Amino acid sequence: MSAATELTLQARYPRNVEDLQRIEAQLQRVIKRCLPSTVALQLGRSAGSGVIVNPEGLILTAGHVIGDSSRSVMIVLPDGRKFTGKSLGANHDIDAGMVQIDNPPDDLPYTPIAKGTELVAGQWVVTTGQPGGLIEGRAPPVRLGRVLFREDEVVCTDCTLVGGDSGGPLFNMRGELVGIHSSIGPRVTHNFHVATTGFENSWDRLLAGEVWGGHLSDEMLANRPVIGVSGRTIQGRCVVVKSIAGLPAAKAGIEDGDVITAIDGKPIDTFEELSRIVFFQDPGATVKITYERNGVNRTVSVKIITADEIERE
Amino acid sequence: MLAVLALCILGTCRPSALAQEAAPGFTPIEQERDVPFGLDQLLVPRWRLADGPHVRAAFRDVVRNASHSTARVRSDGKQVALGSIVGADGWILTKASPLSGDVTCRLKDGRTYKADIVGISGEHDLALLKIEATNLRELRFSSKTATVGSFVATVGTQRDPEAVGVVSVPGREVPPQPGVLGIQLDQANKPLVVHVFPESGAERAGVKENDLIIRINETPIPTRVELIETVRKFNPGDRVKLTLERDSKTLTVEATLSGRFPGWRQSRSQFQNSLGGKLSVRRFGFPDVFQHDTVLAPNQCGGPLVNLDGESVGVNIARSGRTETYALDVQTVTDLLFDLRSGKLAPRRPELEAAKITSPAQ
Repeated sequence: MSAATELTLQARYPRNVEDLQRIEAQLQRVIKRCLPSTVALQLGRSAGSGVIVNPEGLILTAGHVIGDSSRSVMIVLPDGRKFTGKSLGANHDIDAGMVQIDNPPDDLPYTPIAKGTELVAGQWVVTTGQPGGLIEGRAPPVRLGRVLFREDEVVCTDCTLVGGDSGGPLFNMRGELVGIHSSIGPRVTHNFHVATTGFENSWDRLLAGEVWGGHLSDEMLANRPVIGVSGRTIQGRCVVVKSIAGLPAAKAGIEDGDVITAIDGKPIDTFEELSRIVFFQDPGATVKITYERNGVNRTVSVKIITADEIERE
Repeated sequence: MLAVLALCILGTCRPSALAQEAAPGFTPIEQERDVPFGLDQLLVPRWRLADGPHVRAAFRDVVRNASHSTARVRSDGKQVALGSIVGADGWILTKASPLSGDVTCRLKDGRTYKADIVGISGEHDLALLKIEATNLRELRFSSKTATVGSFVATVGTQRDPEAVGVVSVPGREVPPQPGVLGIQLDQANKPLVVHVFPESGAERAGVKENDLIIRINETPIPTRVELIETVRKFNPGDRVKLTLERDSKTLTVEATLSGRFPGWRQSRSQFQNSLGGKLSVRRFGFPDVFQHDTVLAPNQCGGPLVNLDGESVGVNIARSGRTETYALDVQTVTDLLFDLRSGKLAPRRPELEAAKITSPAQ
């Protein structure tokens, strides 16, 4: 970076067209260098973003994108190449996560992590990611912004983010990785990232696949698959205590007091078994539930939804 | 004092089951958690914002010329869009869908003119207006395409730009999202309205229960299925002409389609995209647009977008999401301009159309 560009970027704000031209030229260098390493991540039916940080195929992302370790991940590069990988660890206290690409090729694009303290207020930063999820024919959208403030490992910028960007990279103007997208607030100036320095302290544990910390439970609870019944095990039978109106089980005809005897043909005796089987279903999938009412057995198809869908109905 | 800010976890997103939806849907969730921040976030000085007044002021020379080629477009007394002056004798391009009623254009020097709509491209949502003025300053189009990472300024009629940003994605097609009329149809396969949802486009247009919809624009609608399919081809924000049969009489109304059923809660994606400002009603379905990250209000679309040379690289056409604003590039605009000016894309005259439809010869 030229001395003039460095000075322009360090100034409080650009004063004229020449300053803007220097920022623009530097931004384009950063994009050229960093865009190829921005990846889309798909885990089951969920999608987020990430960034490759070394030639061996290590990806940094947000903790809430992977949720847990050892999950299968599909990784899509901006050049269209697809790889499989596995989620490593997650620190849900700061929303940090890692993914490893299986059998990385020799020519993997990557962006190095910035060394030392970064992200001071006013610093110019660049974001990419896959807002709204991977869209065919759309390169990861580039956004320019500045650090507005920072508290510990949480950095706020005015680079706009939206769902799907989660886990995507925040770059400095030298083309190094300085943060990972985490959350947004009600204004366009509320975009929150985890500083990569936050990853440093957790590095070995994340690499080892350890999962710990805070709001895993929130996200996991919200995304947990449900069919819309509560129940109890009574005398070795799985009894529906409440089939909530408007939810899939009730829509399929299951009523309070029905006894669920089998799922997809597999007999069950306890409500706990029902919960466990439903928990491992994919939201959107359909299960066949056999239930008994007044001595008559019926089998119905019930759609699996997520818990958060209930709160919205 | 400790400020508490309710945050929304960005979350992951899920591909929608609907193949025809442009963007993947998100799980409908508005998860909130309280994150305490210090005073810092309340005291962000404005010079620090990438689109703050200080940074915008650096673009003053950049927008100087183009601001003379910009108009504020008003409909029924309110600014609904900006406009780009593309002909010295009063030709102004703007976004088409917000125009209704009496349209006026206010120039940088304060002069205000009544405007006629001489052409509309529904496909691109672009309209050509004509005002009775001469010797206006024509917008200068750049011969360079807007490359990713270029600064772009949205020109207004003031000294500094309305807003600034950078080009995010090169030109591409943005697929449409299905429009919603807001009616419930009879289960039998005829396009009979059995319910009109409150606050819907259909209700505003005056559609009533027991109306039979027989045409949408010029397309005859023989069945319920064809009605549904025809409506879905339009975008939210599109205006369609409905020919109805009511009490054995034929009448024509004009309805504006919405993006979702009134009263339906928005998806997580819609919720997140609504954080931070209003979006254009017509914001999907463009054959070729490039994307930039400028945060605009819907009524700041339609005007010129200039590069650091001060030349227009396009015309803003929609504020589409929290992270995206779309612009038509110079090639698209200049190609369309020919058709708009030639009368090939003259707006329909409803009174003539209505007469044609009800005439027995039809």
